[in-house]
This record gives sequence, C-alpha cells and structure tokens, in this order.
Amino acid sequence: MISLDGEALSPITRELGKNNGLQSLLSAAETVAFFAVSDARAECAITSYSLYKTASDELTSADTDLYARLDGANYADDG
Amino acid sequence: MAEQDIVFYILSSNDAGVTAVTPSITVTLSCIDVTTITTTYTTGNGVSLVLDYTNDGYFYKIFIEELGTTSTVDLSAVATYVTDRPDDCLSTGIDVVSDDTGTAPYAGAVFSEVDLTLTIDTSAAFYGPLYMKALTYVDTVFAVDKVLVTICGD
Repeated sequence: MISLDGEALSPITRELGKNNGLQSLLSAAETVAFFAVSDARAECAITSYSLYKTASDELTSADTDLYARLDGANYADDG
Repeated sequence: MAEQDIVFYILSSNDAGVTAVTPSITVTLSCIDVTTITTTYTTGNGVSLVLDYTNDGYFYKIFIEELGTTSTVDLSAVATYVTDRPDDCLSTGIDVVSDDTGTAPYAGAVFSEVDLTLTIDTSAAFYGPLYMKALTYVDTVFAVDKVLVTICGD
C-alpha cells in the first residue's frame, strides 16, 4: 500500500516569482517524502511519479500554457 | 493580474499498479505582470574602474589602465535595475550576452558575471563593447545595456 506522508497530508502551497526568479519547486527527495510504502520489498517500491492537472488529466510535454512552466523532467510523461 | 495559481497533483505508482495521489499542490506565480525593466546609471558611484560615458549608445565605460590578472566591478553600485513593479519585483539578475538583442549568451572568455559582480580577465588588451542583460521573472522582459570596455588602452 502507498499512503501519503509528511507535507502531503494536507494541501501544499508554494510561491514562485517576486525576486526569487525561476527556481526548483520540488526536488526528487521532496517528492519521495510525500509518500510512504507499507511493504519494504523491492517489488513494492514506487517506480514512477506523474504530474496531473486534475484527477484525470495528466500533465504532458504537449502542455504549452502555464503548466509548461512546471519542469516535469523528473516525472513520468505518457504524452 | 499580478499573480496566478497553478494547481497540480503528483501520482505515485509501483509495478503492481498501486497508486497514491497527493492533495492539491498550488503554485502561485507572482510578478507575471512585469512589462518593463529600466536600468539607470548611478552617477558618482565610487567604482574606480567605471567612468561616465554615454557616447555612441554606451551606458558607461570600464577603463582598466594596465594589464593584470582579473578585475571586478560591483554592478549593483554602478546602476539600478527597476521594473514597473518596483516595490516587490526587482531584477532577477544580470546575464552577459553577445549583443544588444540579448538573445545569445556571451561566448568569450574576458567577462563573466555572478551575483551582480562582473569579473574581467585583464591579462590581455581589449577594446570593445560588453553587453549586459538585466533580467526579470518574465523571460521576454529584459533590458540590454552596452558598456565600453578598455583594457590597456585609451
């Protein structure tokens, strides 16, 4: 079973811009920390992370609106 | 519009098809309405290598009289970089670029810039322009200033 953990136990907010310029939003380590896997066996480990705009609408490299500003290079892209 | 939110979610999955989705992750993009940035030379800035010089479109002049190793210039002392949202959206930095279009990075070895400090290799004579691009959070909003640099010459 994969469950939510840490900061992901409630809605998350971040701010980009002002005088910070473009910056890393979520590191790989931060993303990993959002989830906990109850079974430690290797075959149960998380193998991919995907970005979604809604519950059913996955973010893909074809997105050209503001979502394109999210660098999804470390996430799975089925588009 | 000064700010805009992007909401997304992260789904994790394993090879067995087990998944979990985070709650909403909201990213607020601020300063997206910046439309201009203006650089203004600071007269009497106290930077010894910098001279007032506005001929032929030059913003100012950097004059290094003798050959050496490296020299540095504090760009924050020489000019101000102000957007049309001066209170909360300043310039995000300076890039050294190849010409006044600001589209290509500088490819030479004489100049480099980090955190508003310009470093100049003074080991060889040089006379020519240096183009510095003042950046904002919006990629298409910037200003390029042309500076005349003389190393070991007039």
